[in-house]
Amino acid sequence: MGFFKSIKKAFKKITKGVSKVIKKGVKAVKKVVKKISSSKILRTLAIAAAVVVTGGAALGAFPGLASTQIGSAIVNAGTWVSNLPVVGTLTKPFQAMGSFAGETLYSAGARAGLIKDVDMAAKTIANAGGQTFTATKAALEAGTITSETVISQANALVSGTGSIGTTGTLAPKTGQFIERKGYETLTKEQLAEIGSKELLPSSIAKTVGSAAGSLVAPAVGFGKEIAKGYAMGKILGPDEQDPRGSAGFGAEEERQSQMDALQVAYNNTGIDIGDAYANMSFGTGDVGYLSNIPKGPDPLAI
Amino acid sequence: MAQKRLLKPTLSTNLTEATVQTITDALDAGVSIDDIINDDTPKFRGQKELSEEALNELVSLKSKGSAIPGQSLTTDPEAPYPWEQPPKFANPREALQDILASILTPDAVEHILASLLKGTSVSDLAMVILYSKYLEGSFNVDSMLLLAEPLMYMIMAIAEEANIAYNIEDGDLDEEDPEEIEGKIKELNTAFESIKQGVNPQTMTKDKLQTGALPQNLLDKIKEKGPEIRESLLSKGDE
Repeated sequence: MGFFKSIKKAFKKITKGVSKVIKKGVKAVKKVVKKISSSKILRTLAIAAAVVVTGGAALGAFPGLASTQIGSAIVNAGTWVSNLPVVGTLTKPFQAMGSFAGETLYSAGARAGLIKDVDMAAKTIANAGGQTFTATKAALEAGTITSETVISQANALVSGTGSIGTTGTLAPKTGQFIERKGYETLTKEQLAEIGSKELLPSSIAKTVGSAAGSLVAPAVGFGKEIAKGYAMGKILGPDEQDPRGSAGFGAEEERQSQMDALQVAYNNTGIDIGDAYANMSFGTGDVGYLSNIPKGPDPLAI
Repeated sequence: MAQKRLLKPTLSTNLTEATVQTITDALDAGVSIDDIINDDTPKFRGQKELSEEALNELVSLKSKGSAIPGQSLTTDPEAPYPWEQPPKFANPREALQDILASILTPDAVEHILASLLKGTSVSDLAMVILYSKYLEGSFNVDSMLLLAEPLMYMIMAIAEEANIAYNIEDGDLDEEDPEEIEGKIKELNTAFESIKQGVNPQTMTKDKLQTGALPQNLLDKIKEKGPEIRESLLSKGDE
């Protein structure tokens, strides 16, 4: 058998095994919560797993799912992480990244016609600094506001006639308004600096170089390490710069004082803390859940 | 019920186990999942669509043939394929971040949703994503296999967010859950048992009989014809 064929075969085995494990997980939860259909438990499992994998950032990345009570509870379970010195001050960029991911997911769903107009509108209002998504939804459910009002408010914001968020220079097209958070405005000088630093792939650098005034292109590849240090300084402001400097992507490890807090969780599970980086482990007590936060790149407007 | 306490930190080498632990602890801490249970928004069902175009594409791909055994040994060692070089990410965590960065973009999510709606399974999608990343030289085979589970969960979460009923494995959306079937059979058996017990002549008394089951005129007829009704052939009868 060829190499690739054996890889595919092994992969098929793994995915089959994972599917079985997922079904077993559904059964395990079903034992605790009786008389609920498997599909609802699967939904709960998917929500929780997404939050655990992305470590808190899923609250922004999956607004519909993570705003559920269990989603929020899992995210809050990691609040002890943000209370740790240094880490706590670094959570903001990652939160922004999460919310940007959420925007992309949401707008893609909307483009595919899978998300209701009213939900899109509620998101727009929230992104423009108005009422939160959950609050608008609650108001809609309570009947204190109608879908039509929410949609017209959002449209007003997008067209620039609304009262919230009209200061920005961006005017995204109707129907794509929730992508707004993926944009940042940079000055001509900043753009020139990015272009000259050779931090960007040549194709992007070219575009950047030719752009005049503000950059109004959507953020591309928020996970890319390009121009990370620059973005920290220019976009987030000096207060939110990484106090450890900008080491290479993924090259940092947590300090001993930060690892101490994890020691207990790792001991209980029988995992050597030294292996924390070498192995894939999951959970709210996992070093990945913690390290995701400072390591996560920010949404860069390129 | 209000949440009584914060969740305990959980840790496991298996994502499903970590998630189950987290959910169980959340339920124990009084976190309600009623908002998920009571959400009855109808789901978009992933359905397989067979098209001539797709079939033709598959045939043309297959007709191109495959590599001759040993072909890889004939390539220039100075210009190795990306997967023959050291991987871009040696750490699976970073590889996972890179994958998530790639798939959580509007275009990628749109394609994922479209595929799920056309009935493509989550495992197949995960395989395609990971395999193509492997071919690009992002990570080695071992990391690829480690990333299958978290990626499958992320695709499931995307599908849940978009309210799509999806296949985890090929065609399992149409499969009945054996546990649910078993539960229904149990329910039916219990119902039969209770009916059986209900008609037990020993427990049946006159006051338990329901009145009004037969119309009055029929009862009058029975009363009238009563003496004429023959007794059982097995009865002793008059001697």
